[in-house]
Amino acid sequence: MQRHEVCSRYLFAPSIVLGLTVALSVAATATEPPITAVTFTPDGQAVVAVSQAGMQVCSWPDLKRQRTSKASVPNLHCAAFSPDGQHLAIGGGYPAEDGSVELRSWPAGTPTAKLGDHDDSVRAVVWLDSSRLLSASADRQIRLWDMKTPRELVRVLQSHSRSVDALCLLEDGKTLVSAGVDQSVRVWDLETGALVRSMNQHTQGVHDLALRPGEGGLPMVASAAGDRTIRFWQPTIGRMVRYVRLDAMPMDIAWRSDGSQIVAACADGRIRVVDPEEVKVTETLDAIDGWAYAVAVHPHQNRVVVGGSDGQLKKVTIRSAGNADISVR
Amino acid sequence: MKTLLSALALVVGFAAAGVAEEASSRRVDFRNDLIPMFTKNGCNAGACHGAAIGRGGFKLSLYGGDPASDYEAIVRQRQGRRIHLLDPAGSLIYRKPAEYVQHGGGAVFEDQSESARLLLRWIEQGASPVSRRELVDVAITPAKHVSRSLDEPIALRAVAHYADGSTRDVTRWTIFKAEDASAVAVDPASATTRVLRPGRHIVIARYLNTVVPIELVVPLAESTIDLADEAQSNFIDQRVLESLAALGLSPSPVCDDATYLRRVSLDLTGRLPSPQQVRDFLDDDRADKRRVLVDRLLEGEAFQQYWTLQLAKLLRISPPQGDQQAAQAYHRWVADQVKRDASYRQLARTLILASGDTHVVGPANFYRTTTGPREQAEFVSELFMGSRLRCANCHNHPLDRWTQDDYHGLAAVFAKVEQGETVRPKPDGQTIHPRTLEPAAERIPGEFFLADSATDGRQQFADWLTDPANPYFAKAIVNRLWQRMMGRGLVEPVDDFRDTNPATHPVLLDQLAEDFIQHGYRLRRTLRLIANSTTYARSANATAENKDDDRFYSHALRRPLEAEVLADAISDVLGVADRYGDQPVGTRAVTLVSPATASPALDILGRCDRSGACESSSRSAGGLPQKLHLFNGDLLNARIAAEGGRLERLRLEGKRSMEVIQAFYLAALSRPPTNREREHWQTQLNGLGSHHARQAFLEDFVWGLLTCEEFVTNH
Repeated sequence: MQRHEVCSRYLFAPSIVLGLTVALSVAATATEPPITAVTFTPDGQAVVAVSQAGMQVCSWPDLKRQRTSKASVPNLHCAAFSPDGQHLAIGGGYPAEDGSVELRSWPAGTPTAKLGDHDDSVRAVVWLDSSRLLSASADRQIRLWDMKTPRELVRVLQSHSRSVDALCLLEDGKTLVSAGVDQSVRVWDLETGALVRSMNQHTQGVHDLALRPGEGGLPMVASAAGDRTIRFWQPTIGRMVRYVRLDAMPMDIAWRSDGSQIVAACADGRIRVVDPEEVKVTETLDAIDGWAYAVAVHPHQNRVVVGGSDGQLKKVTIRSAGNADISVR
Repeated sequence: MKTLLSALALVVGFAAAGVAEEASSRRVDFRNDLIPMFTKNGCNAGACHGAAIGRGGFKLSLYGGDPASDYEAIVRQRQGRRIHLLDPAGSLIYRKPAEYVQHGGGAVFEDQSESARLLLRWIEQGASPVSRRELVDVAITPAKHVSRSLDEPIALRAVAHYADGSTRDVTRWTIFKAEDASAVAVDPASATTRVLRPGRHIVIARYLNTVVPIELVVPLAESTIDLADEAQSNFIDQRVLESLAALGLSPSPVCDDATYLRRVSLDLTGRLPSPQQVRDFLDDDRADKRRVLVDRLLEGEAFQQYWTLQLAKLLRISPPQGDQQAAQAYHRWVADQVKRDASYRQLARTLILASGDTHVVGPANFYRTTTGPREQAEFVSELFMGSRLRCANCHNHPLDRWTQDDYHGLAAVFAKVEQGETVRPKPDGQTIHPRTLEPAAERIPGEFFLADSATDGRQQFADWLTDPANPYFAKAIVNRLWQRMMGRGLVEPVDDFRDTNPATHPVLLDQLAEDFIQHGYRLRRTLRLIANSTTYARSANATAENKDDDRFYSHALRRPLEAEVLADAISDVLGVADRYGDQPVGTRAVTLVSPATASPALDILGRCDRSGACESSSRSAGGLPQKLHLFNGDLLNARIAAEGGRLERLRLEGKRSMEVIQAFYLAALSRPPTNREREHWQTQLNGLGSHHARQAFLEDFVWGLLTCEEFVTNH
C-alpha cells in the first residue's frame, strides 16, 4: 500500500487508487503552474500552498481544497507564518521587474499590507518576530521590514552577487543566514547589518536553508543546493560540519520537529529523508511526477506535504525517526 | 508601469488570438520547433546563454545540443519562474527577448514575429517537453556550388527528415554562416549567399545538432584550363591537378635541382646539404637522381634524428616533473621506432597500452605527458584522431559530433591508469561527469559505452582506434606528414578534423590514408610518395595567375625553418657550433631530448616547449624577436668571424673574396650565385681598397646572407 495521497485541488476523486492517480494527475494538471512553497497552518490543521495561480488552503490530512485566492503579488514563491500565528506573509513578484510581500491576517486570510520596492521577485521571507520580517529577492537584496505604524524599511542587506533564494533566522533572533544563486551561505548580524562571514563550499546555487530544531550546542543550519548536496553548517563559527550528496537535486528542505532528520524535496519528484549525523539517506519516497519544489513536515505527525510540478500537492508518510532503515519506494 | 503592462498584455492577447488558428493546426514541438527558434535568434550561442556558465543566471545548452537540460532550464529551474502557464505573455522567457523588461541581449524578436508567436503558442499549449517527431537528417542544398562569376545569388535550402518519414522545410530556422565573411556574403532573410572573392569557400549550415558544410567555388581564373599534359608522378599529382583545373589555376613549373635538393634535405633531414653534396647533385645527370636522393635521405642517420624530433614534438616529449631519465628512455624508444621504420599503428598501440617503470619502459611515459585523464583524452584525440575532443568538455561540440559523454567517457578510460613514475592500471580510477556529477562511463568516442568498467578499457580503445576501418587514425597522421612536407595540411588545423572543416582535397586524403594502411603504416612510405610527386617539386615562385593560391598547391609554399633546424643551419654555415646546456660541443639542436635544454638561441628562434601541440609553431617561429635578434644579436654577430669558423678557414686557405662568396652561397642557399648576383658582388668588391675593408665587407655579406628570406625559409 502506497503511503502518499493526492491533493484534491486537481484530482476530484479522493478515493482513487494511487497508482492510477499519479497517471491521472499528469494529464489533468498539464497546464497548472507548479506549487512553489507549502507550509502548515499554525494549528497544523491545514496546508497553505502558493503558486503563480495564487494561494490555496487545503485541509489536512485529506488535502481537500478549502479556499483559493488570488494575491496582489503575482508569481508567488514563498509563504511563512508569523511566530504568533496571526499573520501570513507570501512573497513573489514580476520576474526582473519588481517583487513584494503581501501580508494577510490569519486565520481570516484577509490582506492587510503589502511591502514592495524589490526590483525582482521575492524568493524567501522569514519573520524576525510578529511585527518584523525579512524578505530576500532575486534583486540580490535582503530587506528588513518593521510593520509597526508607520511601516518602514529598516535595513537593506547587500553583498550577494546573485539572487537570494533562502533565509534562515537563528534562535538568538539577531543572526541571519542567507544563501542563493551565487553559491554562498552568508551570515549576518541583524543588529548592525554587517556581513559576518561568507561560506563558499557549495559548487552550485543554494536553494534552501533550514535551522535544526532543538536546544543545546551550536546552532546548526542545513543548506540544499544544485550541486546535489545538503550541507550542515555551524554558522556562528563558520564551520561546515558535514555533507551528504543525493542522487537528485534537493529543491527544498525541512527538519522533523525533533531535529533528528531532515526531509528534502528533490528534482526527481521524490523526497529523501536524511540522517544528519550519519549523513546518509534513510528513506526515498515517490511524491511528485515532475519536480518537487516544496516540502513541509507536520509538527506532530510522521507526514510531510510536498508540492511541485503541474500544481501537484501530495501527502507522504515517512517512517518514525527511530525506525530509519534505508528504503526506496 | 502596470498600465503599460496591461496594454502590452492586450496587444499580446490580440497576437495570441491571431495565432489561434495556427495553434489549432499544429502543436509546437519543443525540440523541433522551439530549439531551432532559440538557435536562429542567437539565444543559445556561445556569446549568450549558450556560454559554459550561461548568462544572467540563465544557461542553455550550446546551440541546443541538450534539449532536455534546456527544457529544465526554461520550465523547471528557479521554480518555473521563466514560464507563466496562466499568462503566457507574462512569461519571463517571452518578456526578456521581446524586451518588455531589460534584457542584456537587447530586443531579440518583435511581438508579431514568427519567433514570438511560436513561443507564446508553446506556452499556451502547456509548455510541453514532448517531441512527436525524431529528426534523423537535414538535407542541405546545394552541397557544392561552382559559379563562373562572383556575386551570383545562390539559394540555400534545408529540409528536415524525420523518423516517421515526414519532411519539413526548415530553411528559415537554419543558420547559414560563412567561414570567411570577407569572401562570402550570406543574407539570412532570403537564405541566399553570394561569393565575393574567387576560390573555394565554406558556408556552414546549422539546424539543431546537425552542421553541414556547403562548398562554394568560383575559379580563380576566368577561363578554363587544360592540365592534361602536366607531368604526373603519382596519384598525388592527379588529385592536385584535378583541383587546379576546376579552379582554373595554372601550376608553377617544377623547381630547379638546387632548390629541390635544399627543400627535400630540409624536409627529410632537417639540415642543409653540404656544399659538396650540392655540387655532386648538380653535376649528376641521371634522370632519376631526385628519386635516388630521396631514397638516400630516407635511409640516413640525419633522417632518423630529424624525424625522431618530429615524433618527439608530436608526442610532446619533455621531462615530466624534471625527470630527465624518463624523457631519455622515451626519446630512445621513439628513436628506435623511427630507425626501424616501425608501423605507426603498432607505435600507437604500444603507447596506449603502455605500463611499467617509466625509467625503463619508454612508451609508459605517454601517460606522463599530461596531468590527468581529461587532459590525456584531449591529447590522445588530437594526436591520434586529429579531433579536438576538448571542445566537448563543458558542452557537446558545437561543430562536430562529439558529445560530453564522448569526452568524459574517453577520460574515464584513462582514469583507470595511474600516472606516475610507474604507470600501472588503476581499476578503481574514475572521473566525474560534470553534467551528472556521477562517475563517467567509459566510452569509445562517437561509438559505444564499454560494457565492463572493471576491465582496462584501453585495449578496446586501441583496437577501435587502430582498426583499418577507423575513420580518423590513418588520415590524422598522413595529414600531418603532408603538412610537414607541403607547408599546409589537407585539413588545417591538423588537429581539427570535422565535417565542417573539410579537406581541401578529400579524395587525395583518402588515398594517402589508404596507401598508408596498405603499406603497413610506414611513415617513410608516405614521405617518399610526397617527396617524389611533381606537386612537391613545384617552384615556390608563384605566377601571376596563381599568386593568390595558398592552399591548392599550384606552387610550393615558403615556410619558416623550425627553431632547431635554423639553429643547426646557422651553425653549419658559419662552421661554429652553438652550445646547448651541458650537452657536448657539436650537439645538434634537432637531437636535444628536452625542449627546456638551456639555449638562448633556441629561445629566440621560437622553439616549441611541447606543453601543447607544436604543429603551428613552424609557421610563426620566432616572429619579430627572431628577426631582431638575427639582425642585431650575438646569434650571428658574435660568431661570423669566430676563430675556427668557415669564414676564417676560407681566409686562412687564401681564398679570394669571390670564392668566399661562392662557398657561402653553396653552404647557405645550396646553390651558386647567379650571374647577376656574381656581378653585383664583384662590383661591390671592386670598390674596396684595403684588406681590412674586404674582411669587413665579407663579414657583412655573411650576415646579410643569413638574414635573408631565402636562407631562413624552406622554399
